[in-house]
Amino acid sequence: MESGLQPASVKWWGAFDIPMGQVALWRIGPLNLWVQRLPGEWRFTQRLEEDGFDASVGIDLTAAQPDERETDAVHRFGFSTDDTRLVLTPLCADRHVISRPEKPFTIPPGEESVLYVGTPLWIRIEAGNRKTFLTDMPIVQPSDTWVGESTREGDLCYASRTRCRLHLEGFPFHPHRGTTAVTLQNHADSPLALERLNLPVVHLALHRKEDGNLWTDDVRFERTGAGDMVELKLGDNWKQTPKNAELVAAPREPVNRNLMFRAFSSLFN
Amino acid sequence: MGELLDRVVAFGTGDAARAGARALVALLIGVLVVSLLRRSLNKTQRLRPQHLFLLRRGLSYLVIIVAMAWALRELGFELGALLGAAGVLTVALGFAAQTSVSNIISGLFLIGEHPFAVGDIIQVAETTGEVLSVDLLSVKLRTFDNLLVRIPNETMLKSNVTNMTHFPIRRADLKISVAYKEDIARVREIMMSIADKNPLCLQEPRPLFVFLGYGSSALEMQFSVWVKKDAWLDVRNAMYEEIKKAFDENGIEIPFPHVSLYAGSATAPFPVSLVSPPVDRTQ
Repeated sequence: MESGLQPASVKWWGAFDIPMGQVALWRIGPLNLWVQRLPGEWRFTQRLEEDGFDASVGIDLTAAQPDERETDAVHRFGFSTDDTRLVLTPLCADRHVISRPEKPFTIPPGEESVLYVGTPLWIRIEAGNRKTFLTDMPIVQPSDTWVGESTREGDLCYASRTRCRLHLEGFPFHPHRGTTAVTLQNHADSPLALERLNLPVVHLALHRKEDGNLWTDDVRFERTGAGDMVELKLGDNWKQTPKNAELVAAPREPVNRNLMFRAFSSLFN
Repeated sequence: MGELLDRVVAFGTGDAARAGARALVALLIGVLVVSLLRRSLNKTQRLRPQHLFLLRRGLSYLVIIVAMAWALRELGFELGALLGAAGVLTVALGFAAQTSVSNIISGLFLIGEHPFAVGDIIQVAETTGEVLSVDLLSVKLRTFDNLLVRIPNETMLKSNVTNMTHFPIRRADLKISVAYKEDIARVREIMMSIADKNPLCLQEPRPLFVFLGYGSSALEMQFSVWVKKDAWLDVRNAMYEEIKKAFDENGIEIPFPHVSLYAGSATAPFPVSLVSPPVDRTQ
């Protein structure tokens, strides 16, 4: 870890003061984000490490100027005032996330399971005392994917590979991923073969629990019908705030009470 | 002077003037109604732009015709005789304007069927471009080299029209050739890995690998990836670049067309004999 970086359990989001001419460095998993306050602008330099599951996290508010490489992404934002305040907020993804279990997982009729699933996070960055919006970007760009009955109708989502763990012991928490506790109840007469799990993260809030990690709202899905493409209605209690958690970010979109979507699916047989 | 003034006053208060005033009022009412109709239709968001255009035009013409008929009636014209004359004129115009009428009717069918919309990229015969407008007589396209192409609606209705941006996702088909000595499974694995690493390649539907056959100079295969329609060109180009780079790094040969000569036996060298000493052409 570079000199000046804080230990891995540090809370990397919040409000920071970056004096004019100063460079600050955020290390959030595989992302290195240098932020420089210059007269009339904020300058961001992003560099991604090769290991997509790097769990490093740290902040250095007196970092050295980065030695920019060709592969670095540089963004400049014009800013007319002398405000030096910067606010970073983690957010859930801006689309649904499709999680595929690494190994097939089946829930027999009448059974219930709680799975722990990781999804990619975004950062919203605002500057100045008026919290002027600068950018809303993924920490690590996830892969696009498609969910729908056919290639004609459906939705663009993000893909996430997950082990869909049943226990938190040894769960690989990452600073750039939010964790969701998903309760699956199979009230149908047939087994539920879980090939893909469609998480509506745009409707989930983000919290920080006592363990210092980022968790979304807990989610409950109830399967009542049979068939490969199962539509679920989100009931009144489909999500709830985890216990002993501090709210970090509200949901991106309010939930529509009549929202129905395909939470489990077997596509393109 | 007084006599002229009396005549003007007499005309102004006479039946003819009153009739003219009523006709003018009729026309003004017609124009006002058309204006109000257009404003209220512009606010509606329930209709597609083409349907809105058609409705606006149709209602405008109808109101104008009614207003003109009213004005003519106020001026004392017999509409019956006028309609008769209009009927004869219509038949004559119909013969002369067959193509235009056919284009208008084809346009109505196109608008009703809605195979494409303004902003879509379509291909009609040899022409590919962005739809700028769907008008009564023709469809206007802007080609990628910024040319304006006007295609009559009748032609559109009779032709095969390919809409490349109708669905949210598209497949990019890449034609790949590798040398005969290469391992097909290894080539497939490398290409799948490239697709997995590119975040714009959809994870699902999964990329498709098709072995096309044993070509004359190489093993021919097709590798297809699905992408969102806006990213089709970028991903297609990026995939070719990344595949070439990966093949170079892994020592996989992409052969160019070549012909092998055999002198009757696969292992014997091709015989070459020198008939006369080479000529020195530098002196």
